Amino acid sequence: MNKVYSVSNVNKYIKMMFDKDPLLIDIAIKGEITNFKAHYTGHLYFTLKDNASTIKCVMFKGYASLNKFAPKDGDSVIITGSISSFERDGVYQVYVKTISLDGQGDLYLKYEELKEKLKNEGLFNPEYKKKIPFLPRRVGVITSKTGAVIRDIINVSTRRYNNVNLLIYPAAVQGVNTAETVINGIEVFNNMENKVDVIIIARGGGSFEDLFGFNDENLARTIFKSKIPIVSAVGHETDFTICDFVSDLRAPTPSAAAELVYPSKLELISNINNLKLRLNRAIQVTLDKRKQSLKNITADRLQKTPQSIIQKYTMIVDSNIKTMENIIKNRYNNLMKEYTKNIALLDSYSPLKTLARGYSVVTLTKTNKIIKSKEDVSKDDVINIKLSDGQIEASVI
Amino acid sequence: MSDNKTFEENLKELENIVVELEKGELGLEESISKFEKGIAVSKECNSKLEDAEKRINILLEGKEEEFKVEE
Repeated sequence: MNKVYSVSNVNKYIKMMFDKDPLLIDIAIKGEITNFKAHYTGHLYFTLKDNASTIKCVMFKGYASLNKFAPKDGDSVIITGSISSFERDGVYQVYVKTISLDGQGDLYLKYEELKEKLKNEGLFNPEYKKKIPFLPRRVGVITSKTGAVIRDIINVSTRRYNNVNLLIYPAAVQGVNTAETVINGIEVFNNMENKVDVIIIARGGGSFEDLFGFNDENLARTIFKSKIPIVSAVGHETDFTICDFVSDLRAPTPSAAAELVYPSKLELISNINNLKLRLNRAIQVTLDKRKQSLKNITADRLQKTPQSIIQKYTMIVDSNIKTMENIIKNRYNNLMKEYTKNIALLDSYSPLKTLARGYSVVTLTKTNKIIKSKEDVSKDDVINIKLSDGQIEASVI
Repeated sequence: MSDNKTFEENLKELENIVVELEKGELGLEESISKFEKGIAVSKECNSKLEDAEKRINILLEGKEEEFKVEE
């Protein structure tokens, strides 16, 4: 009979064998989770299976707390860790260090590579970001024509600005056609005659795989080349895609994209009214100021200056009157002198004085002509003899 | 008058006019013409806000059709 060992010894030996096997110390295993149990201590217990077999797994709290997602039954995962046996129960199990969703590893790697490449090419640089128009005349929306996203965009935008002008380009937002249909939408909008001013690319939240269509290199380059500014609203706040990085503006949700693109009309109107009010106040202030300074000028100059002007002209008028008076007086005096002189001369030539000395003037009565010769009269003519004190009628004999 | 200007440009112009008038450094004639311009621009802004007609269309095979939300 061979040597007999205790259970403990056997289990200890088996554990020792596991622990010195280089392959089992560090191993990655692919499979589907079943019997998942999260223990209250924080340790995770589950079984990994494939078509034919199962293997027990345990993930201690220290490692489990680093998980990037919450594993659950049915998840296809890749785990890494070591395989050893549990001496007490005599079972072997995987001591899990990391767990990741199968497939995501590849996708995530691709995403990081593309992001790095485009970033190095400068496609995300802020200087290439186009400005989103303040109040777009027309907005292009690339999204699924069904579902909550387009409804949210219509509701939010019309709530903020009642007369919106939206043009929807229906696109696949999940699956292999995503990038292609979104690219088509961008190109159609860029080549349209009645152009849109801004494009919103929108999709609701989803898993990394759901959103993966937006991590497409051609899509990124089409967005970069677009002459129309693009707002990316893909997924929720925490989801980032290449589409978000290369777009001109990233909105955390589709509703937020509508808010970013359409300003609130109420705010705009109150802004305009406020400016009008300020305009009126400013012109009122200007007019009041002018009125006041006009008043000041009136008080200061218009009232004083004319007074002095009037005084000045009054003086000129006064002095002119005086001058005229003098001239008139002088002329009057001169005339008066001449008149007296002439009167005296006239007096000395007067025939009355000659008559007084005894001379007389004889005129023919019928002709009233002075008789200067005896030939001037005939017999019986009536004559008039003027003396100094009167006249005598006589007839020639 | 400012037909080719966008709403934003008009609003900016209105703001500039208001600020300039508020400084109170302009002559009377210029102030009044600025004021009139400001009123005209504010009307322009208001009408730009009201003029647009609500339109929600969808592009199907290159043609625009009225969009109806599917419930």
